[in-house]
Amino acid sequence: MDAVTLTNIRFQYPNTNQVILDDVSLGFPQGEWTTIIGHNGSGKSTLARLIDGLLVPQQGQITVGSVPVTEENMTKVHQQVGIVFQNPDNQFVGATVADDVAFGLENRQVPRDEMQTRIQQSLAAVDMVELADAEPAMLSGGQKQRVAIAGILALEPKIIILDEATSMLDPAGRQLVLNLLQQLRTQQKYTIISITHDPAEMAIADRVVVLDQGKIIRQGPVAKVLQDVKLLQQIGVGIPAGQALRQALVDRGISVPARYFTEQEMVEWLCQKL
Amino acid sequence: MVMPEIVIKNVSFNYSAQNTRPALDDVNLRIAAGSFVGIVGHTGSGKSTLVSLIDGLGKPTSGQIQVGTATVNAQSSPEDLAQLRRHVGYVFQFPEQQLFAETVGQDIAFGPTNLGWSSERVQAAVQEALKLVGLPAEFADRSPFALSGGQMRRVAIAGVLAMKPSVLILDEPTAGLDAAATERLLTNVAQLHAAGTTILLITHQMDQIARYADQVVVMNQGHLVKSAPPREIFADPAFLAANHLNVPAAVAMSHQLRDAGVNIDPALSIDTLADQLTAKLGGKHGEQ
Repeated sequence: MDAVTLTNIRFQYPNTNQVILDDVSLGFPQGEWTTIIGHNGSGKSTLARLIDGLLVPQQGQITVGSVPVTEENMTKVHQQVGIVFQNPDNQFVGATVADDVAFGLENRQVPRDEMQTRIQQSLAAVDMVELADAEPAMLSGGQKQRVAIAGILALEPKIIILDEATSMLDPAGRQLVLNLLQQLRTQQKYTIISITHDPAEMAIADRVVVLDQGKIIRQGPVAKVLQDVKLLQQIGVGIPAGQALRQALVDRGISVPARYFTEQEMVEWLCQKL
Repeated sequence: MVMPEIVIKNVSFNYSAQNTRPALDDVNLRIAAGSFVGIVGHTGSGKSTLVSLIDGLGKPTSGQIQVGTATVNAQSSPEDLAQLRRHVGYVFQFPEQQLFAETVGQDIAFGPTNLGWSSERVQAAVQEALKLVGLPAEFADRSPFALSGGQMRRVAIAGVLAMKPSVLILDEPTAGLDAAATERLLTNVAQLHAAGTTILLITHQMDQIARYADQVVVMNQGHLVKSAPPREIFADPAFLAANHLNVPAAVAMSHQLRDAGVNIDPALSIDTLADQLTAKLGGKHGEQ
């Protein structure tokens, strides 16, 4: 079953000629992690904002669960969808970590006792309990993004969207967030949609959707889509290292099986051959 | 003009007298003119503090910094610091956040105009800077805010290049850019280096360091722990781990192959790794 469905979506920003999304139909399978890739301006972030109702399409329909994304359903939609944005400093509203997580719950008028429980649980889920009273200035970018995710988990959404949420983090911070997403995936409670340029992030997802000039030009399981190095080069996204080495060998006339190789798999294949 | 060499002698720096741990602790470093230096280390290791002192944005608490003919120490005046800055251009993280003017041309002209240059000289510098970052001359009349993220980043860098620095500092210049924009920007930087500019690149992307740098400076907790060529830095996985540094993918795979008994040299790029492997695999095919 699909947690989110887009049907014949067309979108352009007011007073512009460029069609950002052109008759896009797409489903996001329940409980899976889908990454959306494509170069800057391909329509990735627009797609995320349409799902959350932050933007309204000129044509087509979006449903989240069984709820159509319309103005009158906005509260129901927001109960199911949480978005983490790119810049960790622009989305921290609380004076402390716990306050920041409480913000969304207060807006929903969650009773105080339940609020405390949910704050504790969601901070535990992102491993930030010990820093509950810390101020934002004391946190690294990776820690701030984990607090942003805790704020979303506290609202018990079904769908979590990450719009380049790791792109401003250092490698350690990025790894913390990716580890967290992998943990959340194993619970199968959440449908994860992440927009990314990071080859490592796309490689650990379940599915990849490739957007180019407002259209979906490819989608499928990670191993199948990332196998096509020429496609990745054409749309200007990074190539995972195992696959980059496979392509470099093929370019030099070595015959390597035509499938997706992680770094580990590439090394193992080479060890067998040598 | 004599190309500057950077000499840092026993430099320590404290952000405030109360701070027990200095941001920089007795750093010594020499950078030859025209080098491409990668500056790496964990967040908070002192990388940005080090380059901000090279740009004269502050003076060392103790020790001495020399860039070309300009020298500063703890007693230096603001005028002395300005002398340092004449040689150096500093592209901060996410520099596009500082774009402010109505047109790209006006934005790039801001720095050179402040240096007191004539308007002809400023206009020539604006055009040349646009060319250096690979943007067409027509962009000068466009609004910087109508450009893509990658283009805005290049306009911001052009604003620094217009002042013709002989030392260019870049702090995470490709953060948030897609792979294609990253590639274009790094190619521009490599061209500037080839034309003689000294490049100081702060980055967490070890693949960029492996590909471009001829010297790597490793910072950890305010100490300079090593300054050496990339080959030497990346040869030691334990050293990298101890300093919170990632291993470039090509290096990681060549180490794994060597551990499995494959006799190859540690490779800094996927291409050099593929060249070595092709020679071996090709040889084997020949025997069959």
